[in-house]
Amino acid sequence: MKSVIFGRYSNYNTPIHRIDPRVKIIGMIVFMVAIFLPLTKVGSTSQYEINMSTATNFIILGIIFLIQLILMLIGRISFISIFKSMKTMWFFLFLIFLLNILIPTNPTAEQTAFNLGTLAISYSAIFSTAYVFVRLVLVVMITSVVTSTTKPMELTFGIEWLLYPLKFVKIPVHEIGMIISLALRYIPTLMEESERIMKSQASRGVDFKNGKFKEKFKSITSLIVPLFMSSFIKASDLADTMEARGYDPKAKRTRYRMLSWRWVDTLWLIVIAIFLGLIIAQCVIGTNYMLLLMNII
Amino acid sequence: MQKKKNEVKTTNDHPDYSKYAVVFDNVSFFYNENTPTLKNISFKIEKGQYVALIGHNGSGKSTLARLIIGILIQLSGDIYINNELMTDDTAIELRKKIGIVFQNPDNQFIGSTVRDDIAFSLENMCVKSELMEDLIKEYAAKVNMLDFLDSEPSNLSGGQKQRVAIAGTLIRNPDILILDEATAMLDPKGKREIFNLIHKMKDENPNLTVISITHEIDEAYRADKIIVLNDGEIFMEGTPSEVFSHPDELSKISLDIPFFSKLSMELKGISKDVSNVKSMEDLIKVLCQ
Amino acid sequence: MSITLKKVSYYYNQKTPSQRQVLKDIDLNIQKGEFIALIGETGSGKSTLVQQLNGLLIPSFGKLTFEDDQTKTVIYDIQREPSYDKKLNPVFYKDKKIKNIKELRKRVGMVFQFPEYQLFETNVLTDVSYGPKNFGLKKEEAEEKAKQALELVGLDSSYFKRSPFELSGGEKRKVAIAGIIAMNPDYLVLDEPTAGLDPVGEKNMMELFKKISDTGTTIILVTHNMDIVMEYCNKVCVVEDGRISSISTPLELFQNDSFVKLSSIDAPYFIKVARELINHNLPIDIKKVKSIKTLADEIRRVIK
Repeated sequence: MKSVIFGRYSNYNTPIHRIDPRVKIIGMIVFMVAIFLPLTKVGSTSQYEINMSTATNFIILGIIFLIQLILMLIGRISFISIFKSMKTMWFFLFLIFLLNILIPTNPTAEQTAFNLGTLAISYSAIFSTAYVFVRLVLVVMITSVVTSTTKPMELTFGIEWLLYPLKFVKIPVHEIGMIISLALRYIPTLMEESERIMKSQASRGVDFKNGKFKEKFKSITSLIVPLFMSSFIKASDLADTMEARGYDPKAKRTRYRMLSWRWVDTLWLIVIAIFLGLIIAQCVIGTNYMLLLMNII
Repeated sequence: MQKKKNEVKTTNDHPDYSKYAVVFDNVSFFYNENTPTLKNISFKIEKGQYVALIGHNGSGKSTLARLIIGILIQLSGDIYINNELMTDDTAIELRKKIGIVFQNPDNQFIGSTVRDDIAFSLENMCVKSELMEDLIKEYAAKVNMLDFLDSEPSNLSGGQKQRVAIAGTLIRNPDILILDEATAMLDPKGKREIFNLIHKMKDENPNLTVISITHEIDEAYRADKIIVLNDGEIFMEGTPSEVFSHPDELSKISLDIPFFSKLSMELKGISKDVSNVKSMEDLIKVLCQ
Repeated sequence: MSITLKKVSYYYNQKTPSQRQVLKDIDLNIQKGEFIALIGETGSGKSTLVQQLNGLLIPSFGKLTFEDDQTKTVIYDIQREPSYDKKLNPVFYKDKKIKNIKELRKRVGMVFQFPEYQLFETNVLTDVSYGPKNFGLKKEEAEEKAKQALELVGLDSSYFKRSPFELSGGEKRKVAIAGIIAMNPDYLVLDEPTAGLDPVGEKNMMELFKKISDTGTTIILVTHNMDIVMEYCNKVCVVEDGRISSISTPLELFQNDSFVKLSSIDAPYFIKVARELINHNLPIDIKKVKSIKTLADEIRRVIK
């Protein structure tokens, strides 16, 4: 219950920790774009180019992996936490693999990796599964880098700041920020609460682990209903407190936590911009250019 | 629930209440028409007074607190805060001068650390960011929480969380501080801490009006004035010695009297005069003379 | 009939950097019919201790024996640290050495602080009969037990079909307590059952527990209220920093001089006043002070 999907904030003071959260969020988005972009030149049809692009894809993903690895090392992020985060995803990976196999492609003999009974497993099925897997690992890695080096509060502030332009299309950006930070604040409290309710119900003979479906359903209800009731009470108390302390969502407020932009942040932003430029160039100009570039280097 | 009042009143229409922090004039409120929560409540609280509000759960104490702070609006009667009439429109403005600390320590901790929770009030007041740090430290020191500025609520005791809530409230510099059973969920140590703190605050700032809703009879005895609520009506009102000199009346609504009053009653007929003692210290002094 | 903890130690966050020992070699024997109070500062380990009694928490090591009139059942006997299950929630605990955990839970009923939060059914009667049903009773039998329990806590048949969520705070708490009593436990553990109640509610609640105690149920009460300890309990057990520092009758404890040093715990008023008078050189015999009346008698005797 206590392992949340992505890494929890760890209190170190590394260069990665010190980067402005806005830069980190932008960087994360750029990395994700890079991870998910189909790096084939748009409109390429020849078999050669497709083969080449598959290879380049893996090379580029390898480069991204290396960069992220370095970031993780600098940010002192434990690799164990990455594996833990992956735990919930094995099932999906298996599902994707299954889908890839079952989609009938009728591979020719040379495209077949091996035969599973009557089922011919093609290289492409294995490749595309591996491709999904690698990309998932990369996404988990980069998200962990950001979440475990940035305080949730700073992250909220960063998101709110980046969403600021949406204010002009009447999206209540500030309220969204407040909602996120209150939600983050109350996660541990609700965890404690649910543990307490589970213990109370266990005293009434509830077995949360075993039992038939119907019993299990009942035992979940015995947890969820009280949890909802107590959350409603908490919410209404909290609303009273906020109102009493002068909170008015429509009024102007000042900020206690200010994000301070340092020249290092500008530097990081430039690096990210160059990285993004390369990715776009690769996408537009195509595989050969990238290989050329690599040869030169 | 929040009906607008038909008659339009201006602040000049009423008697001069400038002496009083809170005035209730014939106020009624109900959530459900058949069971009124508060019936025709009238009382006056002078500026700088320390008032204890006692009565059972369900006697309407918490509703009364919410009326004072304008989170609820009365259905009939008038409420004056600092000589100004409380209405739907004036509530937000009048509320700026009132602070309230509620019962549940967990449900009123807004920030993710002590620092941020105190800052929440300052942010709402539009205090300049550069000035916040010093103010936060000053008020954290006042409630003895300076060493815990970066602590998260899950690592604090109930008493500590309530102290943070008091800091977050006092930093708004209110004229009136309401404690809505602020110690009910604390252990004896936490209760002592909070009451000692409140008395310290009161000593430092004699103009602060404190309204304490409590079940702690001994604490109520330290107040300047006691208002006893029963079933939504004022049952008794007066100084502590006046109120507690009617133990039979109080026992009708199953309210207790302070221990020293009980003891001095047990000691009737003793050679020393214990009928007029005002506190346990007094009683001990008289007995030891 | 009795329940015995032998050398029970409990580590919080076992085998992680934040590991902390909460209970240290606890030896405790609770006999049938006792009304025993557990007192101590917040964080002293009282709540952790009572959760060992019905297996909600399993100690890192120690032994729990449940003795019947004829039989003696060892529920668990953990000699050293067991291979640790990361999930702290003992409901998931699957150590073969632990026997009859469900039977233990049935025998030892546990009422948590603010138990009103455990209600979830659509009406009072089904909610109260939920526990007995979980322990294998048929619906009719369970409802019969529920009716008896509700009657015991003072809620008549007009409450049976009402939703638990529309009741007052005190009534909700009674329903929750009835939900445990309906399981017919031999032992009833109460973790600060009067927290948040007003003095009248507190008094009513304690009278209810006295009534339950009179039916032969053993009561184990965690509380901060020393007046309650004095008035209702026949034994009091002080928990200090994870250890049991004394077991005695309430009067013995409060009259004991060394107790004064435990500043975190308030003695009942009449004891505090008696001590105060002794400090002011009034020759009061503390051994004779047992209530406000006896205190007044002592004062009368020494002043004249």
